[in-house]
Amino acid sequence: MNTVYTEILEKASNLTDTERNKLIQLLQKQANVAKPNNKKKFVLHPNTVWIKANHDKYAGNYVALKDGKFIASGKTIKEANEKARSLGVEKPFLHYIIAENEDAWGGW
Amino acid sequence: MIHKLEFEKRISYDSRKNGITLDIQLRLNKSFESFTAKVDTGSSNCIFQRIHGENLGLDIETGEPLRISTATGSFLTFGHHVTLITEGLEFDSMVFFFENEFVSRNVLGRFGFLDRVIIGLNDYERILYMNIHNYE
Repeated sequence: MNTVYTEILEKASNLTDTERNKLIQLLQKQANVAKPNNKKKFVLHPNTVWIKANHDKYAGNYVALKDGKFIASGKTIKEANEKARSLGVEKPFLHYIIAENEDAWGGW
Repeated sequence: MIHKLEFEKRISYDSRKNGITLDIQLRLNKSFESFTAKVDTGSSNCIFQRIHGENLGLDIETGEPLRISTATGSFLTFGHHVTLITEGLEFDSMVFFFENEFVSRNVLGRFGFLDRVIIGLNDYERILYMNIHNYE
């Protein structure tokens, strides 16, 4: 163990509960620091842009999109996909838009 | 009447871990992020730690906002279009990332994962069978 680490451990035992919690949060934040990324260059995917703009109109439906363009919608993934395929789009991006009155549930 | 399904993938999962854990990879352009996630039939969506989205280069808050409920409250997530890869199967999905950087759960839920695969579960033998849905 290096000296700084040992020193921190010794001093940590003198912290108040509030100070200790603040330190824990700070250390967790440091541990979760993201790797360098290209956030400045980040461009939102066209399909995500479309979903944000059309959320209300298609809430409660699956939508089939291609490169940010609407192809078809349906009550099920199968229905949306089959409509898109019948229009010549073999592999559409499929996404269910949860309606305001539906609960998105975080199961665990 | 007997119903038969055939599966391309046979995955033995680790019984020492909580839940049914799969190795997954997210891809965005040329960036990859690998981690493990739990199959969760009770979760509406695929929800991952914020750090995984950030490591892909996503600007999390620009995504589609979605508030998700639990038995004790709710939390905010943001959805982004990525490619999800597991056990050699891959498909494009909108997956969601926690706003809160301290939440450390990763789950594969219904929309974005279960709705595009066919799975068979033999928990007695700790085996998950899986196919990507071919939508034929």
